[in-house]
Amino acid sequence: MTPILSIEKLTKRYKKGDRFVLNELSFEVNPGEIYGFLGPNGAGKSTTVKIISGLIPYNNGAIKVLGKDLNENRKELKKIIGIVPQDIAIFPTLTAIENLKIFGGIYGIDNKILKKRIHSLLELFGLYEHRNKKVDHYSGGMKRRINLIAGMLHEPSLLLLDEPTVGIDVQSKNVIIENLKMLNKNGTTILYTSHNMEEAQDFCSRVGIIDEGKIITEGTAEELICRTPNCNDLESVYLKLTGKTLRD
Amino acid sequence: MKSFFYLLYKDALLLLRDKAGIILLFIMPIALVLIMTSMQDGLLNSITNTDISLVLLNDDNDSIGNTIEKELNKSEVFDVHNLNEMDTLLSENGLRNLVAQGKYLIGIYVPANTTQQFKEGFRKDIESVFDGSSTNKLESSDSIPIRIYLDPTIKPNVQSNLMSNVREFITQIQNQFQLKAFSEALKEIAGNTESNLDLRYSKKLIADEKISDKKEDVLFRPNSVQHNVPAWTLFAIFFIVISLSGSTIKEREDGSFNRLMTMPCSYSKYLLSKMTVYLFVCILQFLIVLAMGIWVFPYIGLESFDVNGIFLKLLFVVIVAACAAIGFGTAISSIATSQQQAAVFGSVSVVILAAIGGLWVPTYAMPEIFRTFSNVSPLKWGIDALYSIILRKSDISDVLAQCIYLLIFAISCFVIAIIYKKFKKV
Ligand SMILES: Nc1ncnc2c1ncn2[C@@H]1O[C@H](COP(=O)(O)OP(=O)(O)OP(=O)(O)O)[C@@H](O)[C@H]1O
Ligand SMILES: [Mg+2]
Repeated sequence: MTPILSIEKLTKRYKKGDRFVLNELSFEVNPGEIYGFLGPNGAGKSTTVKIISGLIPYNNGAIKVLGKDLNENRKELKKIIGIVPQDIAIFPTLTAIENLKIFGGIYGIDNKILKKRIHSLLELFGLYEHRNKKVDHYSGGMKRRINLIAGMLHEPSLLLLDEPTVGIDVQSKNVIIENLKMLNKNGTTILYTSHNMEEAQDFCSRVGIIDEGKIITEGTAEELICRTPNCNDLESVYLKLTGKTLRD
Repeated sequence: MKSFFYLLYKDALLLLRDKAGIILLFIMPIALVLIMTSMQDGLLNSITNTDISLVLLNDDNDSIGNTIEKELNKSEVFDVHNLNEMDTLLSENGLRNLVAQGKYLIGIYVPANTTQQFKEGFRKDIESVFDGSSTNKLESSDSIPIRIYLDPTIKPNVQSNLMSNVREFITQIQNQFQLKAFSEALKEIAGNTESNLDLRYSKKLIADEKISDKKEDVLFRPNSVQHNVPAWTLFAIFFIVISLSGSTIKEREDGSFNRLMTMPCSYSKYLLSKMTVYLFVCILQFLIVLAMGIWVFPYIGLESFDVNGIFLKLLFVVIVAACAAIGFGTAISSIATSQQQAAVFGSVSVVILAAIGGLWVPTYAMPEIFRTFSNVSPLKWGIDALYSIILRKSDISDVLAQCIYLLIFAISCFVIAIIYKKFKKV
């Protein structure tokens, strides 16, 4: 089976950085998976997502989506990738409806379909009542949800989620996780970055732990727990592998 | 195409939500054009459309001086002030000072004994021709020694035009006198009493008519309305850089620009959409200021702006100037790192460029060094082109140079913006 996303020996050094943030990073995500891309602060998770999104350049390596080189087929592949960035990326002075109309329109979604989809997604994430409010006036949790909807509006085959549940209450988190699970059942492959191990253990079909720009271990949560002595959950595995020192 | 439509929708919505921006873009030019036009109304109208003030000092008080005086008085172009009739400053120096101070645009001085000298010189020439001591060509060394002074702030091209017109006028008179003197000399020397080469200057002077033809060309100084309507249109157009760079940087800061870049939307499409929306804003600003000039001014005692036959030409220059402004805004948004930085730099630079470009005070009223300096401002090229169309009824082909300057400015700005964007890649 062709992996939907394959990263080979990716290296990245920021122009103003003094070290390689990504060190020959390699991993694959297969169709239908929810791949947990886990690591401490500064491990390079967001950098990886930004590179796949095409927002920043990289130094070396290769990225393939459905077997096609991402750089060479960017225009075509953009349509099947959905991105939910770590920082909210929504027009704050526009309402939820206006934001989604614009994003959907730029993806070229048919007006009627778009209207229906916006309606159902807003309802699903509990934002329908607030559809005509400026996003600026939303709470943090509501902003996270609209940020998420904007990334999945065009029903992408591959959805990149950069810490979608950070800084929100349990209710919001549950709604998001449940909906993402449903989305995955309907065929969307998910790459999910997080440092919430409990959530990852429950949500991901496979995880890769990244530290200092490379994958240090990979497998299902159970496999990792079995493989690591004296560990009975993902969090203890993670702590054992990445250490207890603070990261930047 | 569909995605471009949604980008336009986005940019239009963002602009509409920016209340402060809207006030800046539309209310400010309305206020400025009203206030500044009223304020400058008395100031700039000192030179009206119908006359060019001329001061004459006739120290000759003989045929030539008197003829010049008479012919000038007949002219409809000049508003002649005779220094002999005013009991002040009866000297050539005094006349020169009056012109230098800008009280009159032209000063003409006819020195004492001009007629006498002319007649004597001419007689000598004739005699030398007849007694064979000279070639039979008449020397023209005895031209009338009249001195002409021009206001130094008049634009050079207008200066030379005016000068040649006045010279021509005087040459005409000189020729008439030569003929007259010649016929008299002939009578005397050859005793030919039948010769009747008398000329009475009954004909209207050709030179005078020529000046009339060039009337538009001479009326280089706009009145308050003709200055302020194009000036504040241009100022408003360039003030879009604040809104344009502000909104671009805001999109970059709130991450929405990044989201757009992960979508099927290229940077050029993104820019094109912004350009289109702001071009529309510029045209709207122009129409609003123009409408003020045409319909509102008469109600508050100002002259109405005359747009007859020049609307499309003005619109053309406005669009070109808008491209320059949009380019400038794009460059600022690319270089600035925050909205505040862009707003401060944008507004300060536009006000300075407007000032040296002659929008606040027309360039002809500036000291010489500033006038040379003013050429660095794209607003100067814009106002030059608009003046030319408004005051001289020029065609687009006459203002092509200014338009090309503006476009070069625009292109340079876009190049800077793109280079800077590449340079800033992390
Ligand atoms: N624009 C930049 N210039 C220089 N260094 C950067 C830049 N952005 C990120 N870095 C550095 O790159 C490293 C990886 O950052 P990244 O944001 O990818 O980490 P992360 O794994 O997403 O962390 P977190 O869990 O905190 O979001 C960090 O050390 C960070 O300081
Ligand atoms: Mg991150």
